[in-house]
Amino acid sequence: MTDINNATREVFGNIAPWMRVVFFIMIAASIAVLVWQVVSRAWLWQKGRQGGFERDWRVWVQRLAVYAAAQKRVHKKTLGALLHLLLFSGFVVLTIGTTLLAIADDGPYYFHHGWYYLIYELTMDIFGVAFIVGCLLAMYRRAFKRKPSLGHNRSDWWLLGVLLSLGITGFAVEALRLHYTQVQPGLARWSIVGWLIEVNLLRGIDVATAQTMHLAAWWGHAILVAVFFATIPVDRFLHVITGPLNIAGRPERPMGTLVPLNMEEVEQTGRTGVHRLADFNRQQLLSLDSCMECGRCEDACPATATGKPLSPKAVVIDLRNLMSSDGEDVHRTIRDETLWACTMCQACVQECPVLIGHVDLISDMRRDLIGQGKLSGPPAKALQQIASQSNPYGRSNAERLAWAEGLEVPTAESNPSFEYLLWVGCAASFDPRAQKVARATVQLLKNAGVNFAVLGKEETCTGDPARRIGDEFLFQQRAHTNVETLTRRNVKKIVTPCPHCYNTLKNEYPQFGGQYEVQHHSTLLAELVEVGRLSNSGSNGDPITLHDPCYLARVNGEVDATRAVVGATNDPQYREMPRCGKKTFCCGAGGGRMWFEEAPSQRVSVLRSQEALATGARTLATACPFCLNMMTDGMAGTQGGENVKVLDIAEVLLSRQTRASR
Amino acid sequence: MKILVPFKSVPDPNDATFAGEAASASKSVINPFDEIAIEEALRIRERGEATEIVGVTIGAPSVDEQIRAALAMGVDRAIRIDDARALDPYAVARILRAVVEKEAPHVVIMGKQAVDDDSNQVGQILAGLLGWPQATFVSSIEFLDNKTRARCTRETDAGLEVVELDLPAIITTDLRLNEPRYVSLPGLIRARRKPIEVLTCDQVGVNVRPLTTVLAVARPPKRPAGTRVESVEELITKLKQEAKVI
Repeated sequence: MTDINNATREVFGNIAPWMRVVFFIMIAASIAVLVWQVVSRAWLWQKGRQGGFERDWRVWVQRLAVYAAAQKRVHKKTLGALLHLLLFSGFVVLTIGTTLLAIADDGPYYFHHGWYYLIYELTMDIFGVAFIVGCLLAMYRRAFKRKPSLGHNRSDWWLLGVLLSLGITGFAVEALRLHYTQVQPGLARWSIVGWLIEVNLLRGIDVATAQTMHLAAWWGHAILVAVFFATIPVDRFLHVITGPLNIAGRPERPMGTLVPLNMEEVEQTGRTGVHRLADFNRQQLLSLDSCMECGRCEDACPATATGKPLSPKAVVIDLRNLMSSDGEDVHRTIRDETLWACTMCQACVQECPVLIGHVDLISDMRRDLIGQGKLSGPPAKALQQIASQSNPYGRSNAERLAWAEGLEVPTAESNPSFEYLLWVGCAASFDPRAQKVARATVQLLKNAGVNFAVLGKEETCTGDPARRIGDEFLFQQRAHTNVETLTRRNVKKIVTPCPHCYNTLKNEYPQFGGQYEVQHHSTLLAELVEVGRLSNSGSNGDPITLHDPCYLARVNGEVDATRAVVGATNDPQYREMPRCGKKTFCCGAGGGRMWFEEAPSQRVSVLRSQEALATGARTLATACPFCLNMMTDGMAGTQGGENVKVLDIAEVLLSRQTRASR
Repeated sequence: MKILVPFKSVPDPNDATFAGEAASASKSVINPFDEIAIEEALRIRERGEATEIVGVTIGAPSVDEQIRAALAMGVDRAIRIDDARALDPYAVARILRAVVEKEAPHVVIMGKQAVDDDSNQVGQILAGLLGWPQATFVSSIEFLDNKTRARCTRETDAGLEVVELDLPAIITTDLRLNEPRYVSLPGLIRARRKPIEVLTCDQVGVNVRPLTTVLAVARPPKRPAGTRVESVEELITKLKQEAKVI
């Protein structure tokens, strides 16, 4: 009969007191190395501008639970995600277990016995196996899969070697201890792995030999533990410390919002944005060290995918290397073309498991390029025209209602008691193709009897392209003017067919005192269909797919309304692209890229068109005038694309109104 | 090497309207061709071939806004000849000659013409007055022989012409030379600290009066709207009978 209550294990049983002292000194030294390394990194972080950290502790707790403990961003159906889960869970459980043992051993109350002990042994063994399997899978992945975006350094093998050896020596120590202490089988079974090794391999060995072997294995394990602590700050493994710090510390802000600059500050410092590394704030510098170089950002990046000189991962690594080498000028390590290549689609930000803000890093450096006069050509022209004509197209703002000819569109002047302000946006006001979207939207609103008005020539660019390109003060000028107009016209609810206007009005204008109920036209149209004020006679049988605009789907999470408007749920011919919904893929126009010249071979829209074509769709619906423009060009430049109609969801819906109401 | 860039303030071509005798706009800008000249001077300095860029313009205090823009682009210092009169190219060239003699630059780079009056004469007259060589309508500039000579590509109706000239010289810029950089608000604010020297014609020792007078300015007649033809046959018929070109 096994005596469960007396079940326990010896701690340091085979280790002479002087050896224990040596052990503790060794561990203390290696922890000192770890602390010293982390402190010396923190010394680099504090060279940044003060602040930048989230202050609300409830946000820290919530984020640590979701992104650190539950690893939300890591989960994926990939080998890398699986092995990380094994490594992570093994690492966490083994660390907690060892800590508990130390507490039991050194504390006033020895709780390490009985059922607790048996379950403890079983749990530690199971997660020990997980840990070893994780290591082996990681080695397999590095040896045979060699995903380029992951990056491969020698230190990765060193680290995996240390981890694997730790796991193996741990089990060896356990098996040898079970053998030489002659634990009864009923209890030994709970230490399942050690017991299996003992039964199958150690039975012939006498106790004295086993004891010697145990001592050797124990020292091997102990030295590896010491090496492990000292290894944590090496390269990507540092993320076990910096990852959670950045996850907790990153400021809470809607994804599509950039941080305003303050003119007084600029006048004092003479700098806009980031020129020297120390112009980043401390949280941003910490975030550089939290990167474990997994490459998920790079895999998601439309600029990388089209061969442009930008990888979000490389930006982070290059800045980190600059920080390590005590460098200053960020533009010496990151080229201007790299910064201009970003579409600010936020795919990298969405992917990053430790919440690095790549777009903020890039935006801050772009602001400096603008301040230094490093922009020329078509995007410079667009900014000049936003400044002089209040729109990037360079058309006179007096022509802002040209798209509405013959439609009798009410203006805020002619219909001051409007419920919805239709914010048309520059694209739908001036781009001949997008003007048709404005017309379709107005026809639908009229059909549905919505009480709306437009601002007409009082409407000006929201400043979104200026802000994304990096001219923060041009943006602020537009924001102040528009907030003033919207207040004067007593605007409460805004609806707009442009996701960029939508994002700026909704998420960025509150920074300048503009608080409105802002809707993208997809949500209003979906509501109107839902309540029966608009009909949807269903599709004509043509296969159709939907391209989600980044600033609608990814940035603002709106993916259902667009599908409702095109009747996706009850259309057997509706197709979904592999990259859809919140995980959409950019059209290439964001971040001001709409106004940059681009080599035909580097067009994101062509990649995206190929993806849409592969679904077999004959209609590509979208919900953004810039996506519409880019995807029309993309289809025209893609084999087979000439037969695909690229339409806005409003145009799709208008074509499905019953004849009487059209 | 020191570069002198004369530039002119003109009504914003994006926003110009005709009222009475002259073009006017709510806003003035640096003449786009002169902006290209400024940009080129900056690029020459950035590649280490120039040490100082001096801007010069003629006008009332209101043109200081364009001077600030030039300084914000990167011009080191600027001179404004305080004269609000509507001067003709010969008068402008004579004032510029005085400034050139005062500043003694190694090269003068300026726009080939101003977009308000499209005279296209100042560079040429200035070269004549100074007795300097000139390269006009230039789309690339390269300095040779320890910056004693320049090789320029000229855009002519017949094609590209490559010329070499001894410095000092006058170079006038064409559209394809470069794309000027963008100047942001903080750039403009920083440029406030750069000096603007205000001089009168007397102070530089010239006495000018316009030799030509603008009598009238008129809009070109409005072009009638085009028509869309249904077929090639219709197009041929129309070309024969209405346009009488074939």
